[in-house]
Amino acid sequence: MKIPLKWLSDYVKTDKSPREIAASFTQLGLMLDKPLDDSGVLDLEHRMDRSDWLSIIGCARDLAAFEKTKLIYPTTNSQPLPQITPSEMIEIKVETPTVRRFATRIVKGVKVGESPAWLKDKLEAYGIRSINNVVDITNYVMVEYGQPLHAQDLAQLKKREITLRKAKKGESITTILGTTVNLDSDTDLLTSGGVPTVIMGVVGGAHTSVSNTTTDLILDSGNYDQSIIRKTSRRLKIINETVSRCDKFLSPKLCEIALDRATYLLQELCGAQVYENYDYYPHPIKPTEYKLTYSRLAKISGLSLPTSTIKSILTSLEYVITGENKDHLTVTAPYFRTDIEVEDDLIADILRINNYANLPTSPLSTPVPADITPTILTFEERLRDLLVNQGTIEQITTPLVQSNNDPKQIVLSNALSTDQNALRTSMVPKLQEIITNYSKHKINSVLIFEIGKTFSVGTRNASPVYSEHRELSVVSSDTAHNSLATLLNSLGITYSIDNTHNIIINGEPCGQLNHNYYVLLTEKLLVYSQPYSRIVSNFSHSTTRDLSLLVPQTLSYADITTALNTHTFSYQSVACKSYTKLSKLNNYLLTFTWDQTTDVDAQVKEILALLKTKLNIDSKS
Amino acid sequence: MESQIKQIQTEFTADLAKVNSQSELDAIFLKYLGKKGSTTNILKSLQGLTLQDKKLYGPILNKLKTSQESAIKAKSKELENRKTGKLEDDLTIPGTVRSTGHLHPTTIVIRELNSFFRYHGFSVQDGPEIEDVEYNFRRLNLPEGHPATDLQDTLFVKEPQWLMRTQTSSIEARVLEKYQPPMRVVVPGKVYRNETNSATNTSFFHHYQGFVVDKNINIQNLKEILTKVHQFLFGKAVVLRFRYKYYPEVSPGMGVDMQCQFCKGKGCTVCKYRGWIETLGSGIIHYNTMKASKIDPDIYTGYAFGMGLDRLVMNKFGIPDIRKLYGGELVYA
Repeated sequence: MKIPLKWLSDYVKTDKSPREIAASFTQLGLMLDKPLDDSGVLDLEHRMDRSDWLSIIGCARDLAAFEKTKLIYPTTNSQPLPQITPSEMIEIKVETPTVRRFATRIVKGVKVGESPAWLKDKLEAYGIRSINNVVDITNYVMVEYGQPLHAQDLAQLKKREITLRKAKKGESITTILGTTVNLDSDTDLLTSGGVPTVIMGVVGGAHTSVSNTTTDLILDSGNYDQSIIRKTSRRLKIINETVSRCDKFLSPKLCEIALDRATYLLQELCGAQVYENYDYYPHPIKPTEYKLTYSRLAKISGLSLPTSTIKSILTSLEYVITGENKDHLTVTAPYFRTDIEVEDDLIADILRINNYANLPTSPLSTPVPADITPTILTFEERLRDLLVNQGTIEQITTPLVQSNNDPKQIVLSNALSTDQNALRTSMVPKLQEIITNYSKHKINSVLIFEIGKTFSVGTRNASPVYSEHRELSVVSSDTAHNSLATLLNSLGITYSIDNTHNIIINGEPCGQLNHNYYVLLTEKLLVYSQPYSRIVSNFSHSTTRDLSLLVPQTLSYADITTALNTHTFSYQSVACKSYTKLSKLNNYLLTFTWDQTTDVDAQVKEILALLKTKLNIDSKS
Repeated sequence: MESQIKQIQTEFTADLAKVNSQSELDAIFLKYLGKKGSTTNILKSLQGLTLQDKKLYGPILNKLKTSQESAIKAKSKELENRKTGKLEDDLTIPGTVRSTGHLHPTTIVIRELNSFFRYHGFSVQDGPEIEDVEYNFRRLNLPEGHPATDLQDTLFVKEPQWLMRTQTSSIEARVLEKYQPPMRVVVPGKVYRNETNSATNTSFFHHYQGFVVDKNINIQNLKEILTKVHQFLFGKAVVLRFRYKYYPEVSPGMGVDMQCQFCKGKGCTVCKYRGWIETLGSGIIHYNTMKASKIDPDIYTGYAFGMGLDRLVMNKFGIPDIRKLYGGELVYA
């Protein structure tokens, strides 16, 4: 929200410098967004909550409260106005549920011309171009009070009526910007004699806009369902000063306040006569009462503020104190505060006007609660450390990828770019790109890893079911199987690789191994891992025997170990030392390890016999 | 006998010092420890001594022999090293760096923050990245069509219910529902926004969330932990500004800024001439959020805070472009 300092000073008087005023605004909730320059305009951040902060008076009010000074309201019409004669009345018909209030006045004998310099200067400082005195007054009051107003040339209305309704298919309107908009049946309009004249709460039409020839006009101030205005403006892609106010919850009471102010200015600057027309307001909103309990204020702030301070802050923000006792105040919220929901919002008002800078700090004094950290999180940190110990480099890559027609892949419905419009089903492709990139930059012999989630979709009862999978992926520029063996050994996990290259732990597939990468499900690793590396306090004395085997080329190491596992042998472990491809067979050199006390020769005989019988494997020696 | 031993020792040491080649060393070996060497001979002469003398001089002569053997061995190694010129002989030459594994910078910063908060009694939590609009918005006091939804551009999986979480406070909503107070929790995590990528913004980045629910939690407790965590991250001299700032899920809400450490608040390119850098948002957990999580807001109060992690990581490690941080383009020097 732009606040020209010259305009602000109409409503609040202060000796403070622009820098100091900006600092005060920042403290109370309107942060200085763009750095101060010598334009005399403060650019303050608006957080989409306070509809009253899209007005100079709204911001001035809070500044006056913060600086403990008075808010000066501008001169406005306070006289009751004559009612327009029935023959000149403009009938108002509301045929859409989106309208809370539609207040209108008829203005006759307008002398359309140039606005006075003070009016033009203020508008231009804010960033709105001067058009003519009538249009400028409507814009001025909109920025001053935060309530959009609209003026239509009576001579251009097809009939002496305005109907507010949804657009019909095929209707269109040329806006004051000169663009023709094709309307859909979700858009609300002002029409006259069946002709659309204004897109309600969004933008006016060119046909009924005030021009040099206008003498009589109808002035309206409307309050609409802000969520509908928001949807309409985004759909039509029209964002302007009117929309940015009408898409927030404005108080309907502002309609009459804005009309009174515009009435005064039209009388003063355009020599006009203003008459009451029709005010559609079927369900007036009543002010809401809240209880401000001192104990809750103390509980949330840790302060014991004097009652006088509390009351003066609330009154300066225009809360009305309707009752009080030793425990609490009963207050009515000001009409323009459509954001207030609960008692804590009043407490927020008190504390921010009191200035957060004045809050002391105080440490927690309650006992430390139970630890509810899931074990998988601690375990994944352990995995990171084990992989770094191996010399692996951790990566974090984006889970957003380009869609690839995999039916299990989740495609996002509204992504801005096509190369990031789906969720990854695997981390491996991105990691392999990184390895390729490394080798382009002459970084070779490298292992990288990532721990994160992959995503997939399935269906249950015709509804999509979205799943997340916690995975570890390790990708190598050479081979990956040694890294896998080292990692699982550090976790105390025994594993095997089956013929489809699943990593099998305790009979369960827990991952996949490929030539230069492997993927593991971390939750399964957690189940099977040992908490500590196995430390043995004795040096082991074992006997090893190497067996050189000639193996048919249809068999794999997994087949050999599967066969061996069908019999109970007494060896502690078996490993493959080397593997050579011969012309018609493969030569596997296996090393068996026994505890020193075993009769190894007898065991070796049994092993060779079993391998010969089951798999037709011969010994080379 | 003693003078003989001493003489052999002295001669040996002098001869050894003059040796400059293996062949010269071999000659020394022959001279003292060979078949006719002087040390060998004097050992042989032990036989002719009395038992008493044997007992006395025997150990001394053996010691002489072994010391000469090891001196020759050491000299031999020295000569060998001299030939190949091993780097470690000149210790003023720096050693070679071996490559090691590395954690990602974001992991490092998350671990530092986790360790700070664990010290203060916090647990660490996590949750789904594909989130239900109920936990990402509704529980956090953002009903449908609320203008504050404009503050975040949402990436949808399936409108209107399923989306990629836009903030880690969705996990706060889940934890508040699942566990009973008292609780202290932090949530480091990935979040997603529908943005076009640039040097400073990506569709995917990291948040660090924290919250406490207990009896009599107040805004002074919040100010205290936030002051402490800033001092932890940026040093004790950090200058902070606490101001009112609106977030739907807290009331009263609070924004924290730190004075730009480069220009000390005067304004520079680093802080975009504002003098202050926004670090995080926070506040007292909204009454409606507590009620929606079935926690009695009259008995319990709580505070919550959340910060973007990536700018912090980039500043700590001197990485200017967020796309390099998550694009595998980090090289470890």
